[in-house]
Amino acid sequence: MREVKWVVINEDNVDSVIEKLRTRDGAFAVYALTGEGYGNLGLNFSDIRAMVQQQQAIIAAYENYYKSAEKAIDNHNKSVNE
Amino acid sequence: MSKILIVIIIMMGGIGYWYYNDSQERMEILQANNATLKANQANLEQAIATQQQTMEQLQRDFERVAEQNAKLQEQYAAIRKQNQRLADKLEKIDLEAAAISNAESIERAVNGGTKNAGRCFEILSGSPLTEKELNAENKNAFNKECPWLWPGPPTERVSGQ
Repeated sequence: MREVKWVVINEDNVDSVIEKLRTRDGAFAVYALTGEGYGNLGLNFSDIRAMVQQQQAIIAAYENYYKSAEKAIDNHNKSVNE
Repeated sequence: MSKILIVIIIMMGGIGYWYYNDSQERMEILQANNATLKANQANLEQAIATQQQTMEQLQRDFERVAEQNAKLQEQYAAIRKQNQRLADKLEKIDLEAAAISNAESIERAVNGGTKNAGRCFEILSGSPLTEKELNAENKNAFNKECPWLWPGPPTERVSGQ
């Protein structure tokens, strides 16, 4: 995944962070989140991850079912042919 | 008198001949019916056997579905529990207060957490594990954001293969 770099700014370090970013990037501009917004973003990602895991579990369950069903059909066909 | 007897004998012979032919025809019909009944019985037995097999197959199918569904419900419960971890963690932390008291350390933590969370998606999407992940001795060393994806200690995995 692409790198995401967070910068934490508070009242005490705001000037030094502005200076640091100005030196590094030539200008200061940031997209900011509050603590709550950051927490919600994390929870949203966690929900998406859980959804991916659930979908994978469903796919695995279908795969297991169809594999065993195919085996049963093969066995039945074999017994009929014999 | 003898003429009458001859006529009676001829008539009896005729009746006997008719009776014999009629009996033979009836027997042929009965034999044909019997063969049809036997064939029908064989077909019915075959149909019953097929139905029996179908019912057994349906029963097994149902058991397989129930088994997979039970496994799925267990996995769902585990996933919900895993998803709750971050919510529990965030409930205990006041992110704004942490950012005020120690911006540098919280910055390191959120950057590390974001990197780990991204890696969780990569692993879930089928990305092969890195050497570091393969050699991780415990869940937290593997990935703090999705420790449940840890495949187990390297030594156990080698002996288990």
